[in-house]
Amino acid sequence: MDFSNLITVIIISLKGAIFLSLKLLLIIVPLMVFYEFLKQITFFKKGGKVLDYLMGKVGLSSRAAIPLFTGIFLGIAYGAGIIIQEARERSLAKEEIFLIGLFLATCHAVVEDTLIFVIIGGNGCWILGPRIILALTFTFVLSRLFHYSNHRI
Amino acid sequence: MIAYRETFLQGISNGLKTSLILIKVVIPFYILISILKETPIISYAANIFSPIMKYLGLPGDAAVAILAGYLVNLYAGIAVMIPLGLTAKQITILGLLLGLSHNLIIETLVLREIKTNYLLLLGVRISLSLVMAFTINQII
Repeated sequence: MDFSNLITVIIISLKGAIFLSLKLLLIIVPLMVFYEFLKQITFFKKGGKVLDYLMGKVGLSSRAAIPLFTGIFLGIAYGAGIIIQEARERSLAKEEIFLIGLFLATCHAVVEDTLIFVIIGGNGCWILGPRIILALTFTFVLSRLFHYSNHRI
Repeated sequence: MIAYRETFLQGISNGLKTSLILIKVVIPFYILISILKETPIISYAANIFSPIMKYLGLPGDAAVAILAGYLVNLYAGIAVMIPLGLTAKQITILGLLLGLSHNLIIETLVLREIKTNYLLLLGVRISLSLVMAFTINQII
């Protein structure tokens, strides 16, 4: 590849990259505004109750809620501070921390991660559905195992 | 009572912040991969991985997107994917695969910080991503 060829490739790809960036901006900014309004309305209260019930089903106590929700919505890397802090402060049982880790390893930052693949043409149901099912199933099965044995991870 | 103005501005601000995080990653990787595509490096890596990729319903060069996603993050993976011209089904498969397993270095270090068996979780994530990609390739 000679030099002028390289310049052409850079210019074309820069255009493509800028176009993609604008697309991201146009979708993410309105979505975040919408999300902020949802948070103000009863969304979180209702969602909280449903999730509380589900958490009980998969063997997690309500003490796990803050690290879990931070992770589910913001992502492991973004919510790191809160997860690390919560995990230490609340002195959660080792088993429960592992369950949170397992849940989040398979299912985190779900809004953003799914959306970005939908923007470029993927099927959101197939991208998000299996992650939620896997996270719930694994956490449920392991919590039963912890429950019936004293096995420590 | 909703503070409309504050809520609106907060949303704009969060949206811009998130977008900037993505854009900072997307632009350099997009350009880098476009240049690499003109060199034999991509086709070389693609040749090595294409036997495995076949089982996941993906072309050989998607291996580069998977590696970028595993090692860096989702946006690096996506930036690599876009110039490859994949079908909607292939994007969906990669979406699930990378959704389950991405940014492994940083996220595994985070999980280590919460004092849990992070290596086991790392193994679970990588295995699950490959198994699920294989599975949904059969289903959809």
